[in-house]
Amino acid sequence: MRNLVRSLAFLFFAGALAGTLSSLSLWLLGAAGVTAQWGIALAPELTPEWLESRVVLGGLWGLVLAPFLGDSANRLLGLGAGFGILPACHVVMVQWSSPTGPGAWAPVLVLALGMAWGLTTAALALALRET
Amino acid sequence: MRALLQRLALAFSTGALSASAALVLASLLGRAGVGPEQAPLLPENLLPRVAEGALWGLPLAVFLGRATPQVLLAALVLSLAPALRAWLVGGPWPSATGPWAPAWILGAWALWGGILGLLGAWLGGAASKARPGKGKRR
Repeated sequence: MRNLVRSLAFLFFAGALAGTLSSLSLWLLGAAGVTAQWGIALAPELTPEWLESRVVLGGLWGLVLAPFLGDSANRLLGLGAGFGILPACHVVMVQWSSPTGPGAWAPVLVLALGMAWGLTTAALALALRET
Repeated sequence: MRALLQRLALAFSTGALSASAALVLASLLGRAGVGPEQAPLLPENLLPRVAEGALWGLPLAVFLGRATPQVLLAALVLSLAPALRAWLVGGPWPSATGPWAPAWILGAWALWGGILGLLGAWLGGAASKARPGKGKRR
């Protein structure tokens, strides 16, 4: 029981840290005008509430990797990138009013950031897991 | 390096879990009329507070692995910092007004500290009190 909760705690931390990095990347792309250049109206403001919400959501999404924590490193990294599609789908399908949302390339950007988040979460989980 | 990262992960996640529990309990007490009314438990209210609790829990990483009373005491002392901040500077949680506001704020954060300490001691593998040669004799 204790080992299971420890594993979940490691995954939550990995997801939250990856969520922080992914959120900062999105903010940086918006602040530098890169998203505007790609025709994407997505430039979030870096406020504590915005970042804190995304940190906790990243941690919660990280828990989906729990059943696969004992798998080989390559498989876990692949699954991480694959599961990164889930939060991206949630943003595109639930949070946006239309599938293209703030621009035609917006879903591609969100999907890329989601996969990067998943890959980072899996890499951090690998670094944290107990052998 | 890995051990340090693991301790930070445990302290962060324990802080988040304790904050969730404290938020729900404070909200229930508010609804029951025992304490001041809290903001509704919606994601926009809940997520930032959980993250705040997780961040305040990070210093507990230093004390993980020690005996349970030590971890619990450390967590309760750590809870004074956010409580004092909420009291003196003001903050979104816990919402409290009137002459009992300081006691309510201190109590809510002490609850967070208590859960943090107990969970941290359990997950951090608190040092056993058992001493060699003191076990049951046949």
